[in-house]
Amino acid sequence: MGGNKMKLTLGMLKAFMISRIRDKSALFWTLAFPIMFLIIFGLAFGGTSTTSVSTGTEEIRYAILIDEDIDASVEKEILDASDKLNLKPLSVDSELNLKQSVEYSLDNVDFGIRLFKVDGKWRVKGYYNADDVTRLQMYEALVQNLVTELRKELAGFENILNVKTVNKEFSDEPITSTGYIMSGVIAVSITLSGITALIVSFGYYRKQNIIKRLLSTPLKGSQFLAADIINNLIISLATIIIILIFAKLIFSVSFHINLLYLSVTYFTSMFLMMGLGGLFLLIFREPNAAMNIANVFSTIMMFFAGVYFPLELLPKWLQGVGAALPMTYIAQNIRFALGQDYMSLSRFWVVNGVFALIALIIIPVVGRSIFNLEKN
Amino acid sequence: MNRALFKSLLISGVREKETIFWIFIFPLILFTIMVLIFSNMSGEDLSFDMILIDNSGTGLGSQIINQVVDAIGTPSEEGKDPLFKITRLSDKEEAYTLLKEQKADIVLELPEDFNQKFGQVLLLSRLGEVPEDRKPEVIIQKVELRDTSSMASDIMTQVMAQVNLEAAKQMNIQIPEVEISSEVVGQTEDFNYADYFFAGVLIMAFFSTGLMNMGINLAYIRSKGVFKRFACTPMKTSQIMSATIFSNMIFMGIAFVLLLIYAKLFYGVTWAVFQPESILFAVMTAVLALTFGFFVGTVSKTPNSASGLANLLFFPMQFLGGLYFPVFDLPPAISWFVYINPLTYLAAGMRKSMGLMDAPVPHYTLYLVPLLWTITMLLISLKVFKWDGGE
Repeated sequence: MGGNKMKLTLGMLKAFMISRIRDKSALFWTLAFPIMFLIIFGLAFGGTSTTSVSTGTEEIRYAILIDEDIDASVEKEILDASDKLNLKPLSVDSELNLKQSVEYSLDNVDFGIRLFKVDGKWRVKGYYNADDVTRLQMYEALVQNLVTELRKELAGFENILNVKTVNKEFSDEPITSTGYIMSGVIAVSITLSGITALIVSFGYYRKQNIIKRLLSTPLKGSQFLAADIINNLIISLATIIIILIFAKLIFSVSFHINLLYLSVTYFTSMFLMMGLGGLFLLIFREPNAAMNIANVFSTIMMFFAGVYFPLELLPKWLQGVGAALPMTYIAQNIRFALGQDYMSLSRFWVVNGVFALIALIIIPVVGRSIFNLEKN
Repeated sequence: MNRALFKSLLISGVREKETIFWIFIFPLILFTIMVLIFSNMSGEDLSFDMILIDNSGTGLGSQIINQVVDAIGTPSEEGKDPLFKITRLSDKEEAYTLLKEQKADIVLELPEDFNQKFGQVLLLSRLGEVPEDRKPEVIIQKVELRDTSSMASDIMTQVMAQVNLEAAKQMNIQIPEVEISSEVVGQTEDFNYADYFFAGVLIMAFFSTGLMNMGINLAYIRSKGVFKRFACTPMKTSQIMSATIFSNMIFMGIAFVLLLIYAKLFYGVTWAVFQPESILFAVMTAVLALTFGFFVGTVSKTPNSASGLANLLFFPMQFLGGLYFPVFDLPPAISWFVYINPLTYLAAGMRKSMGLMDAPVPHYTLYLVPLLWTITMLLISLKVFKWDGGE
């Protein structure tokens, strides 16, 4: 008897998997989208910081125009100040050239400054590229630092106080920004897989009377649900493995997988997202409407979950939006599980516990509601 | 064009909830998100958690640092968080644990010999240059990959630089004052994020209509043999195609009007989009989107595969087309795609014609590249088009 039940469930699972593999649209969102996301964002933003002047060892170039009425000896002070900040000045001879250098990033210039005097008082004007809006704050900070160093050089003043910056690493493997992005990509993948899972099976299948037909067979609702959930877990897990392989091969990302933490995070996150998707279906009934809302919710989560840029740059009320979204915590948990960052164990277990609790409540309610609807 | 068919396609499209959502409503949502985020990204609510470990005992140096720390730990306005929320600890391990667990952004440490060295350097600096190893050192511990930690570290470094300048003043050293101003080049004085994202989201909406709506629907029509059935009627195939094309253009027009009304009412977008050249870029976008849709609908045998192909094309094209963030300074490994992507030129061209910012590519390329893509996709589609698809 038990063997028959298992056989039915496995048969249903096989049918789900074949259906998923044949569905090219679903295959795109499950497989191709996260990998494309990783490649695009990893190539575009990996290895660069939009917020810190001190991240990375790459020399930053800037264009500089020194007005004619300024003593030529100032050049040495500028070079010394730039050297201390790992900046390379490139001299230009007019304001037009200065602006063009910055606007078109000529000679890989990131920003520009003009040094001049008005009524004997020093003035510095920073020029920034409009296209670099996300790094504007960083370049403004660099100009501020450069001006501070220049002031000291002009006065012949040496620092009396040194500042030593130490990067604390808490992981065994070296962490890169691409590794950080990879964790965000995995969080996005889990979210998209999970949130659409029950909408497809309970929503679209119900609309096509597939559930009704299945319930007239010996197959129980719980077996249908179990097969569907296992199908989604397997497909999503395969996607994550592929993302990790791609990250390793293309970007040489190092990670140290803690199997326990990754498993716990994976399962609780998937179940939570499945539960949320099911909740949308319960509220909106029509699967297309539920799917649309799920996609909007996912899009908002992607922007506010701190995956693209730090939430701290946003006003408090917008930061609050990010703090209320599950993807924020999924991304943090994934980073922890892959050794990309650290968090306290108590926080890890509390977050996953809450995820599991929500899922445990919602999923059975959704399942029962849908099957009851069909039976009635 | 057959009017009845055109009307029927229009009505059936508008009745589709998917059409209404993805073509009309989603652009409004995306526009709202983008403008909210980027126009508020000022960092005015920045607040960091810092741990101060002061093992230096009592002395002038630590007194100055503590005064500075107290100042930055005080809110600038009532009800607002201070720039740094300070926690004072004496145990390094406890501090590092808090940093590790993301309960602190940075740790600022004054070592035991700080005051001693501070006193020495004040004395020795009057006599000549002081060796680096005899200068007092403030240590900032950060976690580089955490954006907040890096930002906090940079700001604290600037604060310490100011401490140095203040010390210089105390030593009666004349440090010249420098006034700093700034200018953003490549954008006009009229630049605003509402207009910037209006252009990007409009292009996204048009392309979504052409690629998804037309592409997938065309594949569906072909796979169901609808064209074959039409062939039994007096209707010409050119009438069918023109009705399909114009119905999609109407959807684009509706999307444009809805987005404009919404953006004008709630975000104060300007009328810059009605500049003649800007309208031309919008039309070019519509035409390009329709040819891409035609291509997708032509090469795909089923609506499902059309959906997969459309998404495969649309996702990288929109993200690497400058619709949402600048793309011209991306690394070479990916910038090649930016430069072959027709959306890059359309977005840059529309924003330039709206008077927002210059396009960092030659002006003729803004027209040439999209035009070449339009012709190429059209020729390929016409070559391979079959009236029926099929499973």
